[in-house]
Amino acid sequence: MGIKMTDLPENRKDTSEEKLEDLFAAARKAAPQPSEDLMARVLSDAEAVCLARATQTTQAGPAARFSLSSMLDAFGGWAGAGGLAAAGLVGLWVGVAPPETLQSTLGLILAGDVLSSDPGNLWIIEDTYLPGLGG
Amino acid sequence: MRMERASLMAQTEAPDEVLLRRFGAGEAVAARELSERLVPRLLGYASRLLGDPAEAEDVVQEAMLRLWRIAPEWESGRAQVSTWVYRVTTNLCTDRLRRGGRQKPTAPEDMVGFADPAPGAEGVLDATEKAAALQAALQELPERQRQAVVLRHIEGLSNPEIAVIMDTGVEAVESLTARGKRALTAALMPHREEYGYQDD
Repeated sequence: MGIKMTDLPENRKDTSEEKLEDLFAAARKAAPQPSEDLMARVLSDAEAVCLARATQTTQAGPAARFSLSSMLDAFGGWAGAGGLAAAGLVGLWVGVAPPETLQSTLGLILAGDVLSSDPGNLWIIEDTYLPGLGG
Repeated sequence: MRMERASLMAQTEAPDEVLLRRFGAGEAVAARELSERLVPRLLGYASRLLGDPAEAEDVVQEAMLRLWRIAPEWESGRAQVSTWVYRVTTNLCTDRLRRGGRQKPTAPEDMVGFADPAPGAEGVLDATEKAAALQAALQELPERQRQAVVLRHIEGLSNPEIAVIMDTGVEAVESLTARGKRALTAALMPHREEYGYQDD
C-alpha cells in the first residue's frame, strides 16, 4: 500500500473513485442472504423471549392480585376490613387498659363464685354487663 | 443506490420502532417483519467485518437476541432501532476478532461463495469476483477504517448514523472513510486489469 491517492494526478483520482464505486456496487449485489436456518434461529429466540416474559408476568401478576383481593373478599370488602381493624383496636385497648368492672367480674368468674350452684348469682353478671335489661 | 437506501431507511425507521414496541408488548409476530428487515443488512455487515459466514450468522443471532430482550424497555426517540443493532453487531464482531487474536477477517476466498451466483451467469460472476477482490482489500484495512468504509459505501448509512454506531464524531468518521478509501485504491490499483479495468 505504498501508493497514496494524494500521489495521483487529479484525473486519476476521479477514475479511481469511479472504479472503487463500481466495486462497492458489486459488493452490494453480492451481499450474502440469510439462510432459512438463521431466520429460524432468530425467530425462535424471539418466541422464547416472548414466552419467558409472558410466564414471568403470569407468575407475578395473579399472585399479587390474589393476596390482596382474596383477603379483602374474605373480610367482606373494604368495609369489612375496616370493621375488623376497629375491632382489633378495641381488643388491644381492652387488653392494655381493661375497665375496672371487667376485671372484678372476671376475677369472680375465675374464682368460681358466679358460676356456683346458686342461680341467683347470674343476676350479678346481668346487672354488671347488661344494665337496664334485668328489669 | 446509497440515496435509495438512505431514503428507504428514513421511511422505515418509524415502523422499526413500532414493530419493536409491539413485540415488547407481547406481539411475537412483529418479530418476523423486523427480522426480515434487519437480519439481511446485519448479516452483510458482519460478514464483511469477520470474513466468516458462520461466525457472522452467530453474531447476527446474538445481536437480534439482545434486541428482543431490550424491547419492553425501549424508550421512544432514544435511538434508531437499526443504528442500535448495528452498534451491537459492531461490538460483537470486534470482540470476536480480538478474542480470536486477530484484527483482520479470515481468508477472503470464502466470501466468493456468499452470493452463490447462478452457473453461466457471466455478469453475476463478474460482480462476485469484484466483490471478492474488494473483500480481500478490505481485510487489509485497520479495523475502524474497515467498519467506516463498509457502513458508508456498502451499507449506505449516513455519516451521523455511522458516528453513533462507532461511538465517535462525524469528522472522525469522514477521516476514517477517506483514509480507508485511499488505502483500498492503493491496494486495488496494481490488480485493476485483472478486474477488467483498463488505464484511461
